[in-house]
Amino acid sequence: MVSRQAWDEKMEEQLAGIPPETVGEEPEGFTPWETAVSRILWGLILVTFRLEVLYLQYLLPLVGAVELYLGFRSLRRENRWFFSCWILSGVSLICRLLGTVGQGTWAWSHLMGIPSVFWGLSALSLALDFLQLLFLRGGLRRAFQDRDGHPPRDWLAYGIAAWLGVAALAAWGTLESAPAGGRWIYYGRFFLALGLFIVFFLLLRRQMQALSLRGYQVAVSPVRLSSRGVWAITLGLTAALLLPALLWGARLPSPAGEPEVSLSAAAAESRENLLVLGLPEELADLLSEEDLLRCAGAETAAQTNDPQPNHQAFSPRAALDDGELEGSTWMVGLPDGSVRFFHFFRWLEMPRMRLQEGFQVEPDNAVSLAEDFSGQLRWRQGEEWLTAPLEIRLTGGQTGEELGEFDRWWYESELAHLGRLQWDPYAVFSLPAGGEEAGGYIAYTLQGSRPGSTVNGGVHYYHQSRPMYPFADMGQWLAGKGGMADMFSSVPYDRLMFQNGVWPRQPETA
Amino acid sequence: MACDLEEILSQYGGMMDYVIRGILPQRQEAEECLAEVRKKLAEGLSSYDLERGSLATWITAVCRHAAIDHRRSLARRREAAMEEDVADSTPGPEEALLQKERALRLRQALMTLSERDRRLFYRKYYYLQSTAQLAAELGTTERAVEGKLYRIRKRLQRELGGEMW
Repeated sequence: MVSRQAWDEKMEEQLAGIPPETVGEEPEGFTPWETAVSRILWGLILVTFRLEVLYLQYLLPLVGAVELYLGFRSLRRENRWFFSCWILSGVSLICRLLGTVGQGTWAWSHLMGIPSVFWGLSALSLALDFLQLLFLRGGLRRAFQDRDGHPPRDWLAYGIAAWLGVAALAAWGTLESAPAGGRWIYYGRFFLALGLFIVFFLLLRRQMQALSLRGYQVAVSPVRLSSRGVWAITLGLTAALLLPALLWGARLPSPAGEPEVSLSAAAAESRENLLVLGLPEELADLLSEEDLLRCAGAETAAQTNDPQPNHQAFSPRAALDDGELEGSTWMVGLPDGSVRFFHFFRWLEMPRMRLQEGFQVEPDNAVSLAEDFSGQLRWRQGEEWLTAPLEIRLTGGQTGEELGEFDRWWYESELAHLGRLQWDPYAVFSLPAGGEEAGGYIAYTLQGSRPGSTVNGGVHYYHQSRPMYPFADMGQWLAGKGGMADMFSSVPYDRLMFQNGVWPRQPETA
Repeated sequence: MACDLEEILSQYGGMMDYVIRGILPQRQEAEECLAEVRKKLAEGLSSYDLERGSLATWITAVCRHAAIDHRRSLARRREAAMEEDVADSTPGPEEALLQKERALRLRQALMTLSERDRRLFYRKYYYLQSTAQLAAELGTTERAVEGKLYRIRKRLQRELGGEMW
C-alpha cells in the first residue's frame, strides 16, 4: 500500500514529464482570479438577460446573483471597489431571494400593482446592477495594471453603455407596451435590445481576454463557507420560504368574520316571509340583515331553473377539488315591481385547497342596468357561525364611446336599451382557514321587465385547486386584465348558469 | 529566435512570479529563484524555437523546474547531510522504458478527467500550489479542495488499474 505522501511525490515526479500543454491546458489559464472573474461575468449575464421560458425568468437571475456574490467574495480584499461590489452583491442576492419567494404571494402582487412601489423597486434593482458594473470596472482597472501601471483595455466601459441601452429599452417597453409607431417600433425595439445584449456579452468576453497575463498579484481571500455551502443555503432558504408562500401567502386578505347576531324584528319578519314564499331555509340563513330588509314585503320568490332529474345541464351541484359545490339563483319580487336576484353558492363538502375563489355573475342584459349590489360570505368556525361581507367589484358598464367600432356593433341592442353595457359583478375571496359549511351570494336588483317574460344570464364559480407560481391575481383576471386562466378550475358554465327565470307577476290584491 | 528579455519579463513577469511563489511561498526564496530564472531565460532565449511550443509554456516550465530545484537544495541544506545514492538515481534503460510507459498511461488517464478536474490536478501536482492557495483562488474551503483531490486520485487509480507503484 502506497502512502499518501509517497503517492504525491511520485505524482509530482511523473507530471514533470507531462507538461500541461500536452493535455490541452494553457499556462495562461492558471491564474489566481480566473474562477472569481468567470463567476462574476456569468453572474452579470444571468441577471441581465431575461429568458421567459420554463420559469427561467425567475430562476436564472437568482443563479446569477449567487454567482456574483461568490465571485466578489473571493476578491473582496483586493481593493475597495471589489469590496463594495461584494457588499452590493450580498444585498442584491438577498433582494432577489426575497423577490423570488415573494412572487408566489398575494402581498407581492398587490405591492407590484402600486406604481410607485413597482418603479421604486425596479429602479433599486437596476441601480444595484449598474453600481456593481461600475465598481467592477474600477476594481478591474486597479487590480489588473501591468508593470508600468497601465490598466487593461477598457472594454467594460463600452459594455456598460450597451447595458444602459438594454435597460433603457426595457424601461420603454414596460412604460409603453404598445408604442405609437406600431409594429415596426415594437419589434424593432425588441431586436435592438437583443442586439445590444449580444454586444454586452461580447464586450464582457473581450474584457476577460484583455486580463490575460495580468493580475497575478491579485489577493484572493480565503473563505469559511464553500461555494456549495452558499448554494445549499440559498436554495434551501428559497425552498423553505417558497412552500409557505405558495400555501399561505397566496391566500387573499379577507375581513375577519363577525359572529352572527340576532336579526332585528323587521329582518326576521322578512326572512319568515321569504321562507313562506319558498326560499329554502339554508339559503335564507346566508342573507345579511341588510338584504333581508331590502326584501321586506317581498311578494314572490322563485328559483330560475328548478333542478330536474333528467336535465343534467341544470344540475346545481358540481365536484371541485375533493369538495362539492352547489349553486342556485332566486328571483325575489319586491313590492315596487323590481326583482332582487340572489345568486347563491354553498360548499356541501369543503375543498382541499383554500387559496383563491372567484364568483362572477352576468345579469340579464335586456331588462335594466343592474344596481344595488351586495354580497356576503357565511361559514361555521367550530360551533360559531361567522359572516363577512363580500367586496363586490364590477366589470362591464362601458358606454358606446368607450368601445371600439366592432364592439359597438356587436352590443348595439344592449347599448340602445341600457345606455351602456350591463354591469357584471364579481367577488374574489379566500375560504376561511378551518371554516366549514361555507356559503355566500351576490345580489342585485333589476326592474322594468314584463311580467311573465324570461330572464337569463350567466354565473361562474372559479376555484384555485393548486398552488401556482408566480401568484396570479384572480381578481385581475376576472376584471379582464389578463392572467393565468388555466390555473383556475371552474364549475362548468352550464351547471350554474341561470335560465328561464320568469319575471314575477304582481299578486292580485284582494 | 531573439526576443527582448525585458519585453518578456514585462509581459510574463507576473505569471513567472505566480508560478514560483506557488512552490516557494517565502518572498526571499522566491526572489532568489526569480533571479536564477532570469539568468536561464537570458541564456536560453536566443536559441528558443517557437515551434517547440508557446513562449508562455516554455517560461512556466523553466520557472517550475527552477523553483523545484531551489526547494530541493534548500531542503538538503536544512537537513543533516544525507547523501543520496547519486549513482543509483539515473534510471537504467529498462526503468526508463517503464517510466515512459507509465507516463503514457498517466496522460491517457488524465485525459479522462474533466477540464476542471484536470486543471485542479495540475495546480496541485505540477505547479505545486498549496491547498490553502487553491481553496482561496477557487473560492471554496480547504476541506472541499482536499475532498475533490481525493476523488480525482481515486479515479486516476481506477483508470491506472489500482495502485500505481
